[in-house]
Amino acid sequence: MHTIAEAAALIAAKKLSPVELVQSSLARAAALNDKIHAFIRITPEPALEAARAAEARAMAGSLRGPLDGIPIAHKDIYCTAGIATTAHSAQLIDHVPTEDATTVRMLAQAGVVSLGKLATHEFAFGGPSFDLPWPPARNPWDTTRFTSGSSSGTGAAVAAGIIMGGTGSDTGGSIRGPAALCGIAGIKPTYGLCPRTGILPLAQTLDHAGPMAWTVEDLSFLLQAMAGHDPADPASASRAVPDFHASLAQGVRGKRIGVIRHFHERDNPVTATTLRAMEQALAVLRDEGATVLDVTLPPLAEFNASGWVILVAEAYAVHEHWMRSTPEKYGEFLRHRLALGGLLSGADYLQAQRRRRDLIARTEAATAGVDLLITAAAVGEAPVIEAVPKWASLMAPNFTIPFNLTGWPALSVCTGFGEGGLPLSMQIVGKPFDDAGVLAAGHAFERATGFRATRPAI
Amino acid sequence: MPPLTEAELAARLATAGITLPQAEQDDLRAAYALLAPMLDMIRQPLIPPAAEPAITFAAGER
Repeated sequence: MHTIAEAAALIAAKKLSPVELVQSSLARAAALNDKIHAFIRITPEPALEAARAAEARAMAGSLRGPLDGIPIAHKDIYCTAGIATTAHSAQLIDHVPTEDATTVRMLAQAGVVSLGKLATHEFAFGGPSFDLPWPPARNPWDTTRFTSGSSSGTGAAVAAGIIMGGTGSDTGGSIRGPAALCGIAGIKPTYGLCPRTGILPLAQTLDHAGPMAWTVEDLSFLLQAMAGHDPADPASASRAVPDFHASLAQGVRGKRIGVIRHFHERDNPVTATTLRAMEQALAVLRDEGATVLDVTLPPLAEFNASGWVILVAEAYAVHEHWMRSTPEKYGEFLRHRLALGGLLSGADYLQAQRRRRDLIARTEAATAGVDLLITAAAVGEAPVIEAVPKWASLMAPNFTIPFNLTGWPALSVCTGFGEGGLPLSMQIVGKPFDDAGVLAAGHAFERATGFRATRPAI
Repeated sequence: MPPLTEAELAARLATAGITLPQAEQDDLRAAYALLAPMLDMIRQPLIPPAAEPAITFAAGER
């Protein structure tokens, strides 16, 4: 199996046919999807048509760049013109958009070949659910295990080597969670970097679009295509986009990295193997030239409280019409999560947004002396899918939501494998619009370790 | 915030225009008991007056 970087070099050298590559990916999708349910819709005809166009460009020496001819797929909340976009929900079972999401269009312009639409937790929020029109995605490392969510299909399909990358969305951790449990790389970019126009919303002040891939280097190619100003997205930032791939070379030499130790040691203690892998990762980053020190942020529970109240309140506002008219079309998980938002008051929402301002100010002050932050991405290895508690996020604070509140870029990378043979992970977090610095740190870590050589045996 | 009674939950659902079967209402009431401490936590310690939800006029370069 190739990474995007490897495949791009072979395609450019006319040693790899985009058509044969896409045919191979479609065959792998057909062979594995009954096991991992990563796709809810595979679209061979448009995929092969796009692959033939990429191959023609390759033969003519007019490739559009490193993504030309590369097989990816889109989370099924990304609108795709002429192809159903359901959010994995009966509410939208017949929804066929007439326009692509902005990021779908941007990736297509870069030459990617979409193989279809990927499983998600219903509307990127409720899951894992077993009462929806399609089953939940399963973890390729062990199909009895959870992928995390909500970008569950993307995590599973990339880890299984069906696609080389894919799109995700992240409102409380929905890129970084599946990246962590599926052992791949996923970045929630800075809020405003990637347009969300045409992506079905969950909670607009927390929603981020971003890529997932096997390596951080591959993320740099995908993020390059997805980043940019879109006047149709009110949160879209109007600023120059750096060359993310070129920036990978900066590494971490001279960088000051703050470890938010209390998040993963006291506020929500991770497993011993996760902690050990993180300590080894910090040693790698020191060897790569970084200075590592501890930082103290506000308690994780404060971030979680503000984040959850905002998330469920905004999600209810998005879904209010359907919750009043056709609540039975939701799976039970999502219906109950949305209903929770309907119980809140205006004062609850406003206080949560005010607390968010306070948390951002305290986080900025606490991190003034560092360039990057590190904490856990998940407590440990993936749990059994049927054993995931319905209200897990209310029972223990998650490590990812603080950076949805702040909007700072945050990356999940694989730090090794646990006692069950499943992936372990950590987050690398940067200051606003230092997505390039975050990717450079992740790339330096991956290059210095051998974890990208191990793929799930599925 | 104290947990909701059955009657309080029913009233809030009615205000929101949501209809749920009784068994689901019981489950939701249990979930609200998990959320209620968060509603306290967003209010304590007191939020600084400067933390207001101000409107900004442009996103992007400062």
